[in-house]
Amino acid sequence: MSELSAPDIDARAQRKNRLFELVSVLGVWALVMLLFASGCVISPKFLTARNLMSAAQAVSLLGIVCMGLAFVTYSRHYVDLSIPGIMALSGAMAISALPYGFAASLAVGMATGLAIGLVNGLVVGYLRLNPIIWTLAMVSVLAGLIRWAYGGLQVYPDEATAAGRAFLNLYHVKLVSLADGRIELPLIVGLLAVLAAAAHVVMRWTSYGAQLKLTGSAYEVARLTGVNVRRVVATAFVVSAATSALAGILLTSFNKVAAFYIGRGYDFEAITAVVLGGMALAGGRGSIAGVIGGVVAVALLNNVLSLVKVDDFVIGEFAKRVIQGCVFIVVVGLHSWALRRTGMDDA
Amino acid sequence: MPETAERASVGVDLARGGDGRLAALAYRYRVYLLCAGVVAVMCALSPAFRSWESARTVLKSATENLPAGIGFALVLICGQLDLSVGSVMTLGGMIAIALEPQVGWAGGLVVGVAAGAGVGLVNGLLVARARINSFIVTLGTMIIVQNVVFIVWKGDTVPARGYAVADWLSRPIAIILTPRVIIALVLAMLCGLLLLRTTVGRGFFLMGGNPQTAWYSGLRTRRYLSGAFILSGLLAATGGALYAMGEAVANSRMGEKSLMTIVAAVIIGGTSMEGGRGSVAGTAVAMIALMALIRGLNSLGAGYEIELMASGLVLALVILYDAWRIVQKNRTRGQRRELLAELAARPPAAGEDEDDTTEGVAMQTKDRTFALACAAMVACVAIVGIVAMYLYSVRQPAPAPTGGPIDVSTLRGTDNQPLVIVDDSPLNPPQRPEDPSKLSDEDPLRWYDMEYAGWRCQKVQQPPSPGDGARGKYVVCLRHMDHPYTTAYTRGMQKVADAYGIRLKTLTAGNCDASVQSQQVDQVISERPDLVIILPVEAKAVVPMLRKLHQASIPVIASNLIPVDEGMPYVLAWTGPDDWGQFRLLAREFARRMNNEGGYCIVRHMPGCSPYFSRTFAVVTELKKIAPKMKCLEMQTTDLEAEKSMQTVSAWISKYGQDLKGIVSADDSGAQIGINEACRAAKREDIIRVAAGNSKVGMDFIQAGTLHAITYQSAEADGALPMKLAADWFSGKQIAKSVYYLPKKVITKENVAQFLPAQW
Repeated sequence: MSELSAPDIDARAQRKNRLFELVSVLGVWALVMLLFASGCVISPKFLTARNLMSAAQAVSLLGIVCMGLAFVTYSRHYVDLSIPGIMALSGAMAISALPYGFAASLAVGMATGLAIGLVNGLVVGYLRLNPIIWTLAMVSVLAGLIRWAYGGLQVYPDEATAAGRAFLNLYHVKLVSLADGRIELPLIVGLLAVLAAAAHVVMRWTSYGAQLKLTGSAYEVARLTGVNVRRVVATAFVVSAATSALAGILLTSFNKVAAFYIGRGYDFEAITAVVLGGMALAGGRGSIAGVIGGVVAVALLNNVLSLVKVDDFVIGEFAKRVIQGCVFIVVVGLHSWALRRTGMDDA
Repeated sequence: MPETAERASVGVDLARGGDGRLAALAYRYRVYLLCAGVVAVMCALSPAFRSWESARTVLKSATENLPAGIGFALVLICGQLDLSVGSVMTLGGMIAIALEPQVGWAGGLVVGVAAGAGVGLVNGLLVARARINSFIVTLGTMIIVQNVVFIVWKGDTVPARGYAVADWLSRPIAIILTPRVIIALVLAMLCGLLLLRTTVGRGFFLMGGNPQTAWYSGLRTRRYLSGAFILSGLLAATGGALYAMGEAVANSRMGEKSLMTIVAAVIIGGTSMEGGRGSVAGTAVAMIALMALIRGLNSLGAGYEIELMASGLVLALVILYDAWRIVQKNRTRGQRRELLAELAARPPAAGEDEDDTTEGVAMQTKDRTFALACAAMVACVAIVGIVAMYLYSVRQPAPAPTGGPIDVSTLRGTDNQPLVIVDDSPLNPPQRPEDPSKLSDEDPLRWYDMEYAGWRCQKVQQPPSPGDGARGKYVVCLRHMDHPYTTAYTRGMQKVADAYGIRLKTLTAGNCDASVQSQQVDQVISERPDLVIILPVEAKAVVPMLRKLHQASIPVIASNLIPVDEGMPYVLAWTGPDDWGQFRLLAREFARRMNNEGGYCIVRHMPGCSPYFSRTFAVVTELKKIAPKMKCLEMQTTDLEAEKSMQTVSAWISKYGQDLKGIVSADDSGAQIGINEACRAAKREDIIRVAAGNSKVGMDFIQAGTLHAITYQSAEADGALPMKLAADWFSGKQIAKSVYYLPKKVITKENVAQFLPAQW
């Protein structure tokens, strides 16, 4: 005789499932709330508009990159490692095209990024090459190309022309400025919001989003269903390249100079934020809201840890990164564990 | 009709059955062919490449990353990734060198390897037991291990106490084989045997090929997976320890750049990202091919950018070739050759097409893929061709000057300052304390060995000057990093070299990569130039390299970054900016503007290089002395990046509020942009800002008044001085001092005009 009847076990399992489901849905936003609370405890300076705004501004470009990368990860193609190369090259090309006007400069910058994205998309999407290896080879070629083309020099926009000034000012443009500039909405934060909304709509409400989800969850099934999987994957890489190019142009505007080191480190930081946001590397899982959560979590983690007072400067600065690494593994581990327990994943 | 064409082409393919088999054979041994091809091409193009020494160099640099590469391949065969191998190499190397005084060489090696295995165990448990994606886990441990190394050794470099072990490891036994190469190859052989000849090895392949089947057939998959990660950690740490012992020095970011090379070599070597396929021998051969390519390009005089492009292109070509083979295989999969041959021989009948249409469409799609693969390969080949043509066209010998006495003092830099300048004030160092490392960080004498390096030194016997003038001499300059500063540096050096008719070649050690510089030193020794100018990647890491150059009796002038005392006896002289003196000068200007009071923060240089210390502690100690009321609130590295600097400084402003009155920065371009942006956003334009100079960005800020003082550090003059000294030495002039400083100056708004336009 069993002590519990079948419906009892079902109900218990269901309750348990619901709990885990909650955890996995809230996912990264739980971490965000936790960080927010600990920030308030650690320092009174944390909960000020200026601090939060500067934290937001610092990760806006990362957020923009993540919006595109999310498509690649969602389609189960892990990561686009050519992001730093795209950012540096599109920024440099934009500055090179400045003599032909501001609009031409932006167009050339974006076109450069799109062209590289197209190559990535063709090779990874149509030829089915491994995305990590191909984009690794790509970034190496791009890094060499930029150094070669510009002779290891920094390329400055010409401040004497209107186009040059407009380009330099691009990063600093404020969309809204209220109360003597105490409340400001920088262009990049606005851009991130618009891109996030657009990405969300595409992923949730369009047929492309549905096809992408199916491709990411089960490539073969999607192919047999009649989805043009190759085009779907190729498009994801083009989108990723487009957002990287945009971020690259903005970052170049911020740095006032185009050089090969622009965008360094963005590949791993972006994938960290995307995965932290619950977008599984196994593909087809996660949401743009989660990715935004991941970006916010990265920003808050950085900000909160910077506000902690440490006596030994050297230990303080590297301990911060050790903590970030630990948090990354633990959060992603917990998330995949919760998914498994709810039966949503068998990986 | 496309179908007909298709069929015909298949028929032709079949008719050339022998070619198909040849192609299959070529595909199978592609990495050996690649290696042979690279070596053959390089030997044909470059006479300097055709020597036993250069073969030894190639083997040495290939085996440096080999153990870690094998570990990476092993994990990849199991279908997982291990991104932490680079960090674990660093960890193993640091432990082996740093623990040697306490536990001896063997003890250090054992502890280092054990630590590596420990990291592997953690990776393995997290992947196999906690079932977290290996990409995530090892990305996390990569960051954690690297920063733990920074914490434990404070971003510093650890030199070995003696050269006995290093010399033993690098002594050639049989023409090109040295013990360290033999050890690495034996390790590789053992791993190869384990994989190919044992049940355990087959288990790895089985698990990678199909984990489900492996589990069903009773394989303990979790143990195998953990085992693969442990082996990977163990091998990586062994590789790092061996490398550090062979070089007699361990740098705290020595493994950072290895990951890219390792991934490329493992993939080119035929290991599949999907798991279940791979080979140790292939990895080793691919390593040799890659290194032969890079060394060959170097001996041809190609820059770092060509190296990057070439290794990326080789990787791209190899994987495109793989994809092309798979496409080809799919095209003929399930087809019966004899029937197709018959079909191709027969003219197509009109009625037959009906049931053929769908298949025809499928064929067409596949054919497009094939065409695409071809197009991509052609594009890559075209780029390689362009690069090759570029390589062929560069490096014309410099025009020799048309007789008469040479006067370089009239040369001017692009900023209209004199090009050849030197500080003539005598060097009078204070008394060295017993053990500087026991003093507090705020005591100036704590940094004695860095600040007064080389001021008092007993030179060892230097090679004699040829005494026949500078014309036609061949000088190699080994630069530490690829940066606009070093570009301007080379410009200055080239100007002086042209004036004297000296032939100059420059090589770049990637981005401050000690292991690359060490390889380049080996290469330069095999080329035997008349003199070497070296810009050390790091003050301590360069000592064994200087010793090696000296043993090969090649005269050396060190430049830009000063080696520690142990290295100075091996060089003719050192020239460059007085980083400590410059920053003491800057600190005095900073204190004056701060009215000798208030809190300040420091944005530091990157850990693992010397300005990380000089541009921090020169300020701290100087201010302690002249303005004790000033307090250092915090210091942090931002990797000199604009965004990270903005983030960090914003947090400082929030955290310290009005207590923060000033910021010192190790860089006036990227980092200063971030600092200024943070100050502007927080409406804290009152913060006093000073930085190391002098880039265009920094001087623009000075003019705008958002940066108050920078140091004057002329990149072109920095490059011109060692070349001038070399020319003097060639014509038999005595080198009087061991250290030649550039003049020290501070640029402020008042005098900035005379330093324009900026050099970089």
